[in-house]
Amino acid sequence: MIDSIFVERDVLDHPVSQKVINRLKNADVFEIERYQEMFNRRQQNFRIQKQNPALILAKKYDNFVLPAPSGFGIDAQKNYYFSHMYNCIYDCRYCFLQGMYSSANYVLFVNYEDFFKEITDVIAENTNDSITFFSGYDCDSLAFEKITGFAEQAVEFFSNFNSVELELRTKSIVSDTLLKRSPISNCIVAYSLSPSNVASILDHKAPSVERRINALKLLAKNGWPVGLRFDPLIYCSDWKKIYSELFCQIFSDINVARVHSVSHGPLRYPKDMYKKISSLYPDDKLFSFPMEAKDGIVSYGKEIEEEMSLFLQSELEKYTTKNKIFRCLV
Amino acid sequence: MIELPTRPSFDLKVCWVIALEPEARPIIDELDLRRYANKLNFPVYFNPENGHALVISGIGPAKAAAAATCLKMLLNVESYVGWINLGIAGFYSQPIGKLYQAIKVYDTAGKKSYFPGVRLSKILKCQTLHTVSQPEMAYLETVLFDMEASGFCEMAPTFSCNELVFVLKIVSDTPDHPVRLVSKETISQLIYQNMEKLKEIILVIEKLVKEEKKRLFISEEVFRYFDTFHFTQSNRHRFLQAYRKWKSAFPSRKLTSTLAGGNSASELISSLENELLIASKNWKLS
Repeated sequence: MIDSIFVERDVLDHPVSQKVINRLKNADVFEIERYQEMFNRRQQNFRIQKQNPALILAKKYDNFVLPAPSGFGIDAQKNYYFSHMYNCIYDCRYCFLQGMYSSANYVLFVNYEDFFKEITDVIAENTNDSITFFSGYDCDSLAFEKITGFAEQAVEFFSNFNSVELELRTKSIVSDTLLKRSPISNCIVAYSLSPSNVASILDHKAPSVERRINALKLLAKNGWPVGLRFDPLIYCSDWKKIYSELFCQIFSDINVARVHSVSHGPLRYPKDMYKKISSLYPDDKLFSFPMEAKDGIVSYGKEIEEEMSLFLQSELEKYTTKNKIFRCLV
Repeated sequence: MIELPTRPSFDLKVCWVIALEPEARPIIDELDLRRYANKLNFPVYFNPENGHALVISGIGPAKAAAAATCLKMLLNVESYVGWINLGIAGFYSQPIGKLYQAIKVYDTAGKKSYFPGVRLSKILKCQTLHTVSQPEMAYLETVLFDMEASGFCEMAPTFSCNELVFVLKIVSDTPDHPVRLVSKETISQLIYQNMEKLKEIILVIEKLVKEEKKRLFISEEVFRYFDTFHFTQSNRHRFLQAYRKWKSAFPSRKLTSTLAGGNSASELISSLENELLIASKNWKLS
């Protein structure tokens, strides 16, 4: 799968680097000074690089934990996110990472201990507020778990802080890390979902929606709080029908009490990001839709967004309570 | 010798930058490249039928950069074209004749690293390469040594993109077989003996080039409208954007039928946008 690992000289001997290198025994290892030498440089071509991404093992020095953008959250007073990794093994056509970076290589920050230290500090500074930490903003939280072991450590770490929530956002069906241990009530395993015919067209290299639903049901059965994330909402001629069918499929045979939260959000991009992503895939029908550009944001437009949002809200209320449903507006 | 058309009408796919004539000769023969008569400092060869062009740079990174630039300017090379620097290299160990892709190129003089090319690891092994200013005699590091690649890597990605720039090196000298024993004939021989693998690599690169060309392609029918109507720079851009979306939504439709009634750039753009808007009511993702 990964044939080349580039390692910053400073973290070559870090235990996480050594573990990763051992897990990818067949990969060639190359030393580098800093990951920025080869990541997100000018003249890089995301689309071509995505055909064979390398793994870069690096050290992060600052900004381990950042405030989540406003409009992103599930009811906590304060929302933060952290990214132990940049980029994702999946290739979802709508993913904002394609427009964020010019490089498709995966960067893994191996100094997990520094993330946990800063999370501890943030928790200590906010003892009177409810807080949610989001993992999986710049990557998928579980897709690379067999290699990185990050989620395992994060869940163990958060088991010591019952009053704050951790969201692991994923499309991965690799949930062994979670299933092999007892669940913790403050870790939400949130699945990104779309109707299966939408996902089969747009979610390249990701597990099918059916398999994701099976995985989330299994986690719920094992006592894990699960999240359902319909973000971005994709517009097409029969969207009402296919989203209704999707909800029916998800909510059959699941203990609704285990559904921690449901959120939905529209497809939106900052203008420059949209320009960059759509130029990577000019033939893709996702980008040939006559989108609306307003106030620097490209979207389906207010009318479609509102219609979809209202419909989803009313459909979801058939299965779960209002207070568990959130509209994401980043 | 053949004459270069005033406006290149051939479909260039790959540009080769090679330091020495004995390194270039097997490629010139294999790809049936013909010498282009010019008065430039760098000998240029090309074959308009298969879309390959080659320049012989001479030794050193500056010459490699200059030769690549010369080829780019001379043939007006498009941004989807692949670039290959092929040559011999020193290595700390045997076997002589082994072909590597250099995926990290370190310029020892400038202390700068480059990471060219999408890795072709299914076909050949990858290695680090140091570009040095004098032939390497000590081979103290476990890397390849050459004298051109860093200059090539500095320039070629600006003509195309980093992922379409490839550095391929064949081991010619090692501590057991120092560089002074490498003859011109041996150099050509080393390239010839890797020809099958090189042909495999060429096929992969040509495929990447084809995909990138398709991504950047602007149909001739668009240019006909640019020639016929007055477009401001901004309208030109809007028309192109609208056209790309429209073509993706209606691949079989012809511009002439959609734009039959248009009398100005703005009207043409509106016509395309309106068709998309009408189609959006019943939008299909594939």
